[in-house]
Amino acid sequence: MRCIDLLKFLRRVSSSRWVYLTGVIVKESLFKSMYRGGGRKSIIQRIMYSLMLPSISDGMVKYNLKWFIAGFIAGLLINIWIPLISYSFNILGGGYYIQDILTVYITFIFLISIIITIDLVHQVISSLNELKLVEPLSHMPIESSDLRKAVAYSGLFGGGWSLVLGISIAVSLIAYTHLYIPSLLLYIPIGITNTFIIVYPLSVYLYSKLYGRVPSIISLILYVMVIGLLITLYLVLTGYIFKVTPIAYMLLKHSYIYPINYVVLSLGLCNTVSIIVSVVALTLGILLTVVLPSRISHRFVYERSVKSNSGLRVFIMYGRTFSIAVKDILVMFRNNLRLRQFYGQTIAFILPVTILLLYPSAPEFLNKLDMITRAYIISYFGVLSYIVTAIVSPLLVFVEGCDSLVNYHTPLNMHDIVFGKSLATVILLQPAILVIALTIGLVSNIIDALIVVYSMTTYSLLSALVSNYLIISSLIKIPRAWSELSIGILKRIIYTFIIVSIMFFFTPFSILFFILDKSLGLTLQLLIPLPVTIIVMYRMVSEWFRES
Amino acid sequence: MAIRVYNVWKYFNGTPVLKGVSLNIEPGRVHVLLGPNGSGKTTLLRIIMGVYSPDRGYVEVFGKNPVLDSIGVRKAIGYVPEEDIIYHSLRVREYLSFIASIYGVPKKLIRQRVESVEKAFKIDSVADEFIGDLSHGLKRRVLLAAAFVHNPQILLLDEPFMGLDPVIVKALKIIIRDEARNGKLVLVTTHILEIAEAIADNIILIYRGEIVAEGGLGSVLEKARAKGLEDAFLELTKSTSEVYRLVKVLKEGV
Repeated sequence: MRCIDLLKFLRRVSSSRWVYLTGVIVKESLFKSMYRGGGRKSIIQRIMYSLMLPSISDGMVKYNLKWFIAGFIAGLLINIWIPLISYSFNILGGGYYIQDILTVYITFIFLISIIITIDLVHQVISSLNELKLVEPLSHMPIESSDLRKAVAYSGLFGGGWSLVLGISIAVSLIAYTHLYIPSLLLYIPIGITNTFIIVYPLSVYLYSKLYGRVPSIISLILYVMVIGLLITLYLVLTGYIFKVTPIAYMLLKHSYIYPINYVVLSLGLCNTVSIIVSVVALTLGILLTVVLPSRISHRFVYERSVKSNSGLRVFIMYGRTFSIAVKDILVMFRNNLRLRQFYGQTIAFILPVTILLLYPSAPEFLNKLDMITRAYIISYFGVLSYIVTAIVSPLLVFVEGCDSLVNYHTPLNMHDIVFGKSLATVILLQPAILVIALTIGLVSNIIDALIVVYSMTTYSLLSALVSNYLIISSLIKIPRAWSELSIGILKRIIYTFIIVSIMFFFTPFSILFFILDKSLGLTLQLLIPLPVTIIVMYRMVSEWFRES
Repeated sequence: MAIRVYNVWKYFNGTPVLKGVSLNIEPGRVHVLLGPNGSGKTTLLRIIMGVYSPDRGYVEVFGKNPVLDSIGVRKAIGYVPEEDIIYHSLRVREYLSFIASIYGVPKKLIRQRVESVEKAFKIDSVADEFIGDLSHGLKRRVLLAAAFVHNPQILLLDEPFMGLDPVIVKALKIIIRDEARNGKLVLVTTHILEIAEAIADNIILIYRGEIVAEGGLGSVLEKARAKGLEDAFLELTKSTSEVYRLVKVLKEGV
């Protein structure tokens, strides 16, 4: 295609009605979630807002540029551990390991970008539903093909692609500053974008086919299986790579597997197979993105999450905190997109650990340890649940969508909502906690299983409280819908970073105490989340008696 | 015990929505807040509830300041919003029991109160339906039931008659008057002038953020030198010429 033809094509696309409709959907979601009426801001706040937060007055280019900046900064934050570890290795010795670690990490980044894209599609479809963005358009004389395209592309042009590009460029820059391979700067962004344009249209297509036709539980299992498969693939791959040296040889040998071809190209190990696979994948991605969204139905936008009138009926008549928790659980359970997102993200963290526990050497390793050391190691499942909770608990805020307006008009304060949502998060996490406890019970003993239940429950409660306080206190004070846009991706990552950092602060103390005195270390590890648990229990019990 | 509004100003993005509104709303009477679209009715109700804080002025609800104690104030209020602010994925009974629970209705009374309001607003037959599945009129009835479920001392009803069928409208008119007769404070906003005429003991006419008339039907008509409330409304909101202009524009447009 000649340059002039390409320009004509782009001009025709940009003046299309569906492009305009995509913009309408994006702006409407912004208005419903984050319109800031009044309020004085300092100059720094104003600069930060204008740089980071998209506004209704932004054109699509400016809007996407802001998402790109947010993605770039988020990418730098996510990868801050690389310079830290590199610095530590250089001081303590073993700097040569950093290349192997980064190689495995880059492979991981390509796999995780698949999960991020699936999650993004979830988020977009959930927002379209919860914020009721498409319904007003469906009553207008608009061609259904235009509406279909607008819905399908709203995630792609509504910040998704630019966010992923921002993150990938941050990753490539950080990797480059440690490995000094120029091809990293080119192939990591191209590879991740390629993953995005393959996974995005396929996920949207699958949703349009599955949503409302398959029972929620089957849909959840399918989702969990996809994530489980990806993680297992990663574990097998990295386990394999670690066993054989040199890593570069192994990567070259498997460069026909997508996305290893991009890892190979990124590391400057260019071979014919990886180039051919990359060209084919890129062409396939572009074709899928151009062709699929114009064909898919947008049924999932009108299809309610609640499928039938059968099922649980609850009379909510408990204390305030528990009533809010029950309400949140019901809302979550009846929104199968959010429920899948919740358990998908949980399983992404829990499954690798469970798989490791099922390795034949795991029982032998655990049973060799003395009781206190074993209990101490097992109590770190609490830290795992702390991190998982920091990631999944905001979903209970975002699931409210437009219905969040109820919170502004009822006698609920921030503490009520925070405590209720935190309790709901912990209850929703119980199946995952029980799976790990059961696995530990099988490979070790019942006491260790109980330690898992205790530590995972209490740590997740602590994490949920911190997370919910941060998120709910930063939501807009005037009545607005609660969605991912209300917080913004960058703020959300910063919050997760803060929450996880708290644990990085406590853990060295716990290890230090454990080295000095094993019992003391274990006690400290188990006691850290206890005060918060007692506060929540006290609140619930006192409400129960007060309102009886 | 009353709602007192002293010289309240509220701005949105620099534009004044309320301009020095002062009111004294006593219990035992039905107060109807009338005004054209965008005149500040909903904003005033939200300020009374403590959802918004006034930029200037002061509000007192039964001796409490909604800015400082919005939870205490809201507990005493039964509020029907203009829009469908409700959990669409809860069943009717779940929503009503949730509302009763967070408004502090004693546990042993929740079931009884919920069933009672379900019957009063004829939604007992859809008690197990998801709210998202209900028609607009039924959703409005659920919102009304939720406003009454905790037996509040104050009723703030924002366009409560919107989307209701004539039977429910009639019943609601009777309920509103009875509640006021029983000593409750009732403040209703409506666009429907016939309803205002039928239920109001006190009409508050608000126009562009200012109170332009207040009093019984007779005194409002007298002030506007009009025969009916519609003429009084048009006169006091200076909208008579606007009506003819609109008709002309619409005719030309069509």
